[in-house]
Amino acid sequence: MAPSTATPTTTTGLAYLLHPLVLLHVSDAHTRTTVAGSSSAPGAGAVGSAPGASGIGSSRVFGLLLGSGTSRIISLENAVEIKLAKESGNASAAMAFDVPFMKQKIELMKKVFPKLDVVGWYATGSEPSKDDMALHRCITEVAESPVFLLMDVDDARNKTRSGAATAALPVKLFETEVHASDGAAHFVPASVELESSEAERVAVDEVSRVALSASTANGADGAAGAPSSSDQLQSHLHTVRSATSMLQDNVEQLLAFVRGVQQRQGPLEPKDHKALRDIAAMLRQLPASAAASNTGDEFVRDAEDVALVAQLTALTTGVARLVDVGAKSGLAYGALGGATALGR
Amino acid sequence: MASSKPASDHAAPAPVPVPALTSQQDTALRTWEAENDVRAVDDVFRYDKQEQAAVREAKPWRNDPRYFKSVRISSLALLKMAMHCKSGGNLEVMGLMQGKTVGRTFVVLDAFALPVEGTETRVNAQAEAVEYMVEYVQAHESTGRFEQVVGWYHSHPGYGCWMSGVDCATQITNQAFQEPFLAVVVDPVRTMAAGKVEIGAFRTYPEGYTPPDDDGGAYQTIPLDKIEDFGVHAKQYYQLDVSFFKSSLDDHLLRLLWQSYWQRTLSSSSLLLTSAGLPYAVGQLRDVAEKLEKAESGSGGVLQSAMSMGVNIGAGGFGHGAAFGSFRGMGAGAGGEVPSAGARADRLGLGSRASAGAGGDRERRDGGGAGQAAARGANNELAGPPPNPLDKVVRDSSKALVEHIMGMTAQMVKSELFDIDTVA
Repeated sequence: MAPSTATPTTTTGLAYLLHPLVLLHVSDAHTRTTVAGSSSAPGAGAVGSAPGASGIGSSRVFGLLLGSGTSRIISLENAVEIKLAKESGNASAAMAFDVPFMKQKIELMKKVFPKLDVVGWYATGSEPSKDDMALHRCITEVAESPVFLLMDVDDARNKTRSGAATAALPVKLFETEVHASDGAAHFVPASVELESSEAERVAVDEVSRVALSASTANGADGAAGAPSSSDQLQSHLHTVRSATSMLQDNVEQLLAFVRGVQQRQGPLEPKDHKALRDIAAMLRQLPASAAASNTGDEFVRDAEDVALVAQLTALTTGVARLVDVGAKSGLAYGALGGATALGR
Repeated sequence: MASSKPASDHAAPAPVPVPALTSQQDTALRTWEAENDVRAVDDVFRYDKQEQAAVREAKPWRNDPRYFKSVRISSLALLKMAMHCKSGGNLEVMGLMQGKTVGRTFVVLDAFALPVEGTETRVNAQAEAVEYMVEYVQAHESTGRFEQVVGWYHSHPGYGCWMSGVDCATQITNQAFQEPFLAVVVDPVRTMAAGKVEIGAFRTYPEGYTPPDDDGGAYQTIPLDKIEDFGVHAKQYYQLDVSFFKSSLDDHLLRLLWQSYWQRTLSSSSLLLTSAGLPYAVGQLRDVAEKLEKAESGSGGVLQSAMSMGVNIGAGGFGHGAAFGSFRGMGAGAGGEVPSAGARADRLGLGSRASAGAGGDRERRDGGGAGQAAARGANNELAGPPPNPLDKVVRDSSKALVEHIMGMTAQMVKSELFDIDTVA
């Protein structure tokens, strides 16, 4: 939401939707490269130096972005890792990807996800460099007008550490544009929005809840494998709660802004009419959007449905317990009868 | 340090129970954890070729059929599997997992899909899949990742995480030739309904092994038409504990992601309350109704009478529920929203009539009550109370209920938040 205002729009006017899987893919590639790198270096890992600031980030990772798109909207859904050509990076040769390898990867991917096409590539780093343009040209061999996603991993760590509440994702997306003045291609930032499929959302929710812990074996809590239904309900309510408090925070921010404008406090002058219009538009939408989701009696009907299921479950449970009581009292009665018969 | 096992070289930090990321302190706590722990956390991503080769050589699992106890799945692998399984729709799809083993734990670091056409109820890896696998793994290795294939996953859309006969046969073969090997089952439909990833990890016993009779894994809700297959093979495998892990960077990203992600949590509506989820919801209820019926006909003697009363209420009620569902289906069909809704309503109507009929039938036979059952039970053997056949039905229906309630609470919260008119 917030970042779109800061980034300039591009000439193509395409909208890009970024899926969390891509983010996690880049993160995974980075983490593994980092970990593998530190294990080969002698003595590394023993020193508890500050993470993020030290050797981490020295080696970049690259990959292809896969996605699909209609005419105006392109979604970045998946990614595969690729490698640099062998001679690449030497003083003599320019940076280049291993194109045959890239084509092989694409072919493999096509067999399982026929709907996905190459739409660009990613790398880690903070700003696009000169080498990136050379690499970008490699990608044009397998994709038309590719985009370039840059993830700043150190920035990601710093942002969460400083606790910035409304920090944007540390990714930048670039399109290329040929400038008439020098005839060379330049990277132009493009805006990107977050998007996710249902399955993805559930999985991301799940992973977000996982505590970050280094213990490799959790033999102690063996019961963790089978969460009870009340746990499930609890975690669901938890998610709803945190989403609601997030909404509240945002609404409070808007409220503070409007109050500030009303009281004509310093920095808010001159009035930001666009923001005010946006707020007004949103407010007018409110009853309408809610009415759309609860057309007619559908909401009531759903509620009745759920109540019915609840009642039936309660009944079934009650009957099951009744059966228990019946069986037990039958047993006790029988035992008692037997004992008295013996006693006589 | 690299030579010793990661499990031993960092003392596990005190397991702090961390709730979802809500309060300020929580964030602070997690940040603190991440900063102090980052190397240890990310250590799980390290793959030591020699160490793994040594493990494969030593084969510590050879003499213990239950050697492996748990599975840890990386966030990336989880996401990939969940999305791939979902993309298969009602077809079963499959893929392979890459990773390593640490002691008695599988660590799954990555997953990839296989080009296997799933039929409705079974998946089988074919020759081309093997070819694909070899090619993929080689390409993977050339990017400097040497994780071995440690297992396979496939989807069971809508009928729970367990191993069918075909799955068991596949897994037995794999464990014979490709140890260490793990089987994972994901149910994308229940994942959607429950709002949590329904996933199970399994290993089969070698042939001829009789497992200790401890009724190991978690109870699973299995539809009646699959239950025979389940019952036959349930003793051939055991379930492993599944947990997930993420890298420190994942954690940072996920927290940043949440900043724009919470909207989605609010705006999504539960599968059960949408027209797409209707077949699942009704199927769930019908399954419970059928199981009730089965529980009645299956149990002899003691519980017969009390049961018949219970089932009567239950089946009659659920028949009602299904009929209710079919009304909704027909409404949607009339509205022209969903082209296939009419056909669906027909099918559901049939189902509901069937179970409603069954309910009515029993009403006539039902003369007694709980008291009579107790009296009749008194004449029976003293062998201890038999297992209550209703227990499982109760569990199934509670599960369905929880899913419904979750959908409803979300809906009600939304209505409270946004629906000015109804609140006022």
